[in-house]
Amino acid sequence: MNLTPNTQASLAADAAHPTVVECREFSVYYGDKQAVRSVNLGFPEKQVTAVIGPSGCGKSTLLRSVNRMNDFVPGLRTDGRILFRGENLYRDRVDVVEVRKRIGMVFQKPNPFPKSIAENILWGPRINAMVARGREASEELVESSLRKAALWDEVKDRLDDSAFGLSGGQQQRLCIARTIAMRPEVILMDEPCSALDPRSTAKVEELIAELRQEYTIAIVTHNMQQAARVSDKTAFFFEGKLIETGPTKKLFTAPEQKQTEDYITGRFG
Amino acid sequence: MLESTRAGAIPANPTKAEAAPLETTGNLVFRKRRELLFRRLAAAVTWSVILILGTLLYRIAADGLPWLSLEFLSGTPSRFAHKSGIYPALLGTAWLMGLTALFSIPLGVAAAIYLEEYASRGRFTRIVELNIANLAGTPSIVLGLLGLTVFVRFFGLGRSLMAGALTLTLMILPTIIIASREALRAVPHTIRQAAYAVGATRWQTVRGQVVPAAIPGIMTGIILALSRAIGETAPLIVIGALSYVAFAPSGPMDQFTTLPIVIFNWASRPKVEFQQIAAAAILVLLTAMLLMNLTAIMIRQRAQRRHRQ
Ligand SMILES: Nc1ncnc2c1ncn2[C@@H]1O[C@H](COP(=O)(O)OP(=O)(O)OP(=O)(O)O)[C@@H](O)[C@H]1O
Ligand SMILES: [Mg+2]
Repeated sequence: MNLTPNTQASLAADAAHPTVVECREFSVYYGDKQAVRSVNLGFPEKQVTAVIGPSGCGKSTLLRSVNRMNDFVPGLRTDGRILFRGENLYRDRVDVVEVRKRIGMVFQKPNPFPKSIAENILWGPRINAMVARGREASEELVESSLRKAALWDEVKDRLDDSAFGLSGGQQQRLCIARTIAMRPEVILMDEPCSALDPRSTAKVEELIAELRQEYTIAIVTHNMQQAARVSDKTAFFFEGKLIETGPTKKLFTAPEQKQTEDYITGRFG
Repeated sequence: MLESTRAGAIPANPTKAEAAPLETTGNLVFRKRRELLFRRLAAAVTWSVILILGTLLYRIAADGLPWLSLEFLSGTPSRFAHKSGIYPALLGTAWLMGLTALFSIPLGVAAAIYLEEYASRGRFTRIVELNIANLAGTPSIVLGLLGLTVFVRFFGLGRSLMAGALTLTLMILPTIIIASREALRAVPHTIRQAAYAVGATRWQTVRGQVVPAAIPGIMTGIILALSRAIGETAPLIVIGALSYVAFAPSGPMDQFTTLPIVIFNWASRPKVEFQQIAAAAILVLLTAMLLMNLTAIMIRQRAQRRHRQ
């Protein structure tokens, strides 16, 4: 394999944060159009990796490839591999349900189920037989998930109310709680704050910092400050290509590539 | 400098405040007039429909109400109007609707789920869709002939409730399928994605999220379809439902009559009394339909309360 210095850096994971998810020469095509170009990128364990880049550069496409949500897009084709703990997610006979249980996702727009707050948390674990029968186990799971998502205090008196009665920010935290309830190993977040006001955004960011203790997180964001605040590692994409990746501090203070510098200083994108 | 160029490019405020009075003027006068006209027209149409329906209902009630009694509900048909009852027809209608619902709802909803959630868009789905559309446009009397050939003769079901219910099922299936598909399609894509993202299979997503969210729309389709079926006469006469049955049916293979058939029969007799008991039977039929729809609406509203807010 022909590795650029950049990719070598990303593949060399340190012992404390071994790489959990790793893209190797990974490409995605929509029909004839290539949206992700031969990307090599690792996501270190219990770290937050920010994915940045101008609109349409393939960030969402890459993220959705990691938990195989792209399977539903007609005409989509992938090439290369994504390794999850060393196993290729795109080899034959990989069970996508199993993949999505272990790699959770939070979407750009809050999308709670049209059910009660408690049901939103419980539905996933229930259909996957991950929660014991009986009220106690359920209540415990609801409470612990909502606590971890910093939502418990706001909703503890209305667990049986519709999730649609929550504010946008609360809904997004509910979606994060719903993802946490599945006890995934990796959480993918595609612009989780883009529909939120500054206060809710701050809350979600705090939450990400908290979750980092236990989960491997990948977050797509258009907000440079956010990427700088919450992430340990940043990957900059442009037109489907990974231009530069490295520790967030370094990438934001001393980028190696001109394109990266232009983008993070707001000169284009 | 910057200020003045910006103001020059797009005049945010009119330079002269008095140039734009706050009263209705010019083009707005015309638009407002048109809006008023349209609103009055819509109201007039609505009220005339209500008036026509009201008159009709009044006439029927005036004719029929005096004849409504327990004996009328529990009696059997007779040569004499005052001895006639509708018990066999009432039970026939109840049985027929029960069986039709039993066949058409699961079949229609399942077909809609298959077409909307599973089938890939291809030649096969297109052919099925075309057939459903054709079936929806087929006159019910033609479906009656089909029922006669296929259910009554070929499958040897005879002139039974079963044959009638299957024929009506054919008739209302397209309505249920089309309405259910519409309802399933209206469920936001984001909900499906959310379900898959927590490790749901396709079936779990459909069963646990998509169908429950579509229940209100599906119920609307079912209400429409069953309301049409309950008043249907022609195909049942074609397959050989009798207009004179002295006994109420007790099983799906029994011969039967229904309220619309009895109404048709009585209403076409010259004697005034029969016209009047026909009106009474119409009132019973309307009540039955109302009760059926109320049940469906209640189910729909419970689902709505659970899923929206
Ligand atoms: N379903 C699709 N079919 C065809 N092309 C698509 C599809 N989804 C995305 N694309 C194309 O792939 C490219 C990458 O899209 P993607 O959504 O991954 O970008 P993004 O980086 O997430 O952008 P944004 O920041 O605006 O969300 C774009 O050029 C887009 O037009
Ligand atoms: Mg995107």
